[in-house]
Amino acid sequence: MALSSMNDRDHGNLILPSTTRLLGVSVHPRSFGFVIIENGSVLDTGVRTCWTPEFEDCLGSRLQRIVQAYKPSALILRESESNNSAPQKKVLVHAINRVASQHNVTTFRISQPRLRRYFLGYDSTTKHEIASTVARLLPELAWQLPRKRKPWESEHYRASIFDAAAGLVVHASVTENETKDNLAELHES
Amino acid sequence: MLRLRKGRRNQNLFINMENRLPNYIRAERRKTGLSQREIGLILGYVNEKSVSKHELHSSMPPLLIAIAYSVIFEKSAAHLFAGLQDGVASVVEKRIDDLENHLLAQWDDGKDRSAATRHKLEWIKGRRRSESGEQSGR
Repeated sequence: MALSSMNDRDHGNLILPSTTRLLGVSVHPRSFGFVIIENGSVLDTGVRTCWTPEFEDCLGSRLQRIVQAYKPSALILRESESNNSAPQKKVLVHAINRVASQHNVTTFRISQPRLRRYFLGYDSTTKHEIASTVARLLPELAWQLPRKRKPWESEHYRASIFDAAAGLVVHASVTENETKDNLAELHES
Repeated sequence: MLRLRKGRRNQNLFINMENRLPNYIRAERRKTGLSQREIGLILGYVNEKSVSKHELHSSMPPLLIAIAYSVIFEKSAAHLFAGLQDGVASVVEKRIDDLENHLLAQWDDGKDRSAATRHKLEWIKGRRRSESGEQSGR
């Protein structure tokens, strides 16, 4: 369209896509949570679970449907907390990477320490505090925020949506800073 | 009135939708927390199938349903069907260019130098000026 081509011209060498869609994914042993954002607003969220023995194929095809529907420019994957994570998680991560490469979607990984460091800036250390901060930053998610769980309760299934969104928030802030740096360099030169 | 004819000529209406999604019905519905079935009931459907098809862009909503979506979500149809809007706009602009070239050729050849043709060409020129003014103002 004329408007997008004008935008490209206005930015000189730095070509910014007029619409950036990012897919955030958080992996669990037999499920994944996802969030799609476009230019800072949430388009879709959800949790996909498969209990069949071939769960990686089942979840892979469900992710494929999401990627085909939204055509994200990047996939942001939250890395698991430890090296001793469930083997099913590794299988699922492999399936996700396969789907991403099939659709030429760049994958970025957000490590747990980096995520914790980022949310420390918001005084958020626990998982629930991080989810609450994410709900503040992305108000469309606020109604989905699960209540704080009691120690004897298992995690709410929607918590994985907030895990995925937290990774997206960290990635978006890094990208924003890099863009600002690029623009500053362009102005200086 | 613009009639979008069925057939090969309108197949290219649905290209150029790589940037924006064909429609944002699902995104707007998710914001409300309503289910596809509930939206279907508001629209007068008996089940959620039609809403699902509209969201996945596997079928296009009829005009009255498109207006109903616009009323439900309090968003303009141009926002709800942003990708479609882009696709239709680019094809329509191309066709207006073709029409202008055709009229200009007839004018230059002396086949048609009527006041009506002059008026049409001035309208196209004025339309383009206002469009470029809007874009530079954005």
